[in-house]
Amino acid sequence: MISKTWLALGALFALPAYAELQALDDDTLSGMNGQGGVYLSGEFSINKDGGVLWSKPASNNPSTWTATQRSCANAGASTPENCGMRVAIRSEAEGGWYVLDNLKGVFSFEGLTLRTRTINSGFGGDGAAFNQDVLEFGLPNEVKFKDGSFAFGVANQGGWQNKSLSVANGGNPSYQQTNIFSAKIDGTIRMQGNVLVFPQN
Amino acid sequence: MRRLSVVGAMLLSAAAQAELQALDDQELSAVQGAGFGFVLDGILMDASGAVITINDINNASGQNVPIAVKEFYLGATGSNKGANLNPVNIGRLDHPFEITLAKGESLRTLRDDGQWVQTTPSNISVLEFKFPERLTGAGGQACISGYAAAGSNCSSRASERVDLGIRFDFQVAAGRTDIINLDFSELVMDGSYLRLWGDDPRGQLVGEARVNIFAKSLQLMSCAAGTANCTTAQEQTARTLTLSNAYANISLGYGKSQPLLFDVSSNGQFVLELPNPVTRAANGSARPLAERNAIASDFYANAPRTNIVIDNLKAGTGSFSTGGYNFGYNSIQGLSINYLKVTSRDL
Repeated sequence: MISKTWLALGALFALPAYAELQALDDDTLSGMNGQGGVYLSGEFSINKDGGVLWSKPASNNPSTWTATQRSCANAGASTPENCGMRVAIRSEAEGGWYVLDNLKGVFSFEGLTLRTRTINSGFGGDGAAFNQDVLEFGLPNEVKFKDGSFAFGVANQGGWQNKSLSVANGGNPSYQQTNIFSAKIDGTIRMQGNVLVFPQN
Repeated sequence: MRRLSVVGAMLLSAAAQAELQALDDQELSAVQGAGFGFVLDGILMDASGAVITINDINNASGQNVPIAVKEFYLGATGSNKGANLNPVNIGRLDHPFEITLAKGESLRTLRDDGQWVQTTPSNISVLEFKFPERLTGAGGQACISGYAAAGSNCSSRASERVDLGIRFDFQVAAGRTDIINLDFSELVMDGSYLRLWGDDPRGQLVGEARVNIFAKSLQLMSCAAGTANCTTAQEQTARTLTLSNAYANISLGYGKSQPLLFDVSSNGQFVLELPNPVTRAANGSARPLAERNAIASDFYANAPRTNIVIDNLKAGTGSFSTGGYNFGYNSIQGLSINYLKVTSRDL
């Protein structure tokens, strides 16, 4: 008796549940697309006021800096400058390092978008055959740079060392870094369009 | 009850079979190398509103010679040197830019005779960044419109070419600025790639690179438009070097025997090297004669060559009467680099 009652109750509960949730068949499921996306506007700055590794010295002459000071102004410049971020990569087991140095500045943009998009038409006839979803990065119309800079160089050590100071004073006279070039960017660059990303075998 | 649960399990398993389908061997073998493709849709770039300066290039007395970058633009063809910029699609959905990590034996390189050959060593993982592929046979597009000699193996169509320009102002000394103004029209770079992998005996990053540049025209002007003696069309033409129907296939490295070595020496200098493919093995040991011959035959048969072809090179108007000159057709073809070593030095 008891078990029959429970069964009946169970059937009652189970029935409404079936009525509310309906299973989707494969066709319907595969027709579903994620919607929505992200719209980003913003401003970010990298090492605008110097980083955590070095503080700004009073002069641009390396021999006057203390062990924790570094200026990244061009050689021969009269005033010192804060240093930006540094990334060093070693391409050989026993070799030197490629360095992306002094990466700093303020970058601001309006309307960087990230969303998915189904492409099944257009693109000069390629879209219909393609017929799949892509990830779309919409470039902001304008990117503003303020005191943006970076330097590309090579060095014999990953970390920067002051070659004008003795080892006892926190420097390393054998340190060698050769900057191939450096660049500064100020102002507005117009960048419009989308980057469409999709898997590829 | 037990019967019910068995039926339930059967229902569940039936549903699972409907969703997951087994791949047969043929399908499985077609799956290789994870990577992704990307295309640029409606791209336009214009940096004329920004001040870009390149520093750290010094003159003989150690002073910085700043290079101001101006009039940088990228847009659809027909831009009239950037004056009329329109968005352009670069790369096609079926021939996109690609970043892949693949086995060396699955990569192919187009030889000048139209054959696809393997140039990377087998059994290594190669990180490849490549531009839209070149096509042999059906579907290939003329790489330079109206100039058959540049071949018809580009995948990008005429509407997927770009106009690109950049001006460099070299502030050589106080009161003197030297200018190079570059304007490419109908530029396409199909078939370019950069492949990187680790070389075990050498213990370093090596690779091979191909840079293909096809342009309907490239103009180099030595003055800034709108400045003194550089205003009228006539004045500007007089100071322009024009390359028409120009293309370059620059090949650096042949992975099997002459990889391009990206190197920084232990004393902090930049080294770019293409080693001699036959003299020494990567670990420094000498090779027997038969092996050297085999490597050399393979190198000469398959290593990609460098070509630089300018159908017409013209200084100024190209006519004697105005002081110009027409140099006509210039080319370097089938160049193979046997050994190259470039090292930076501190001045």
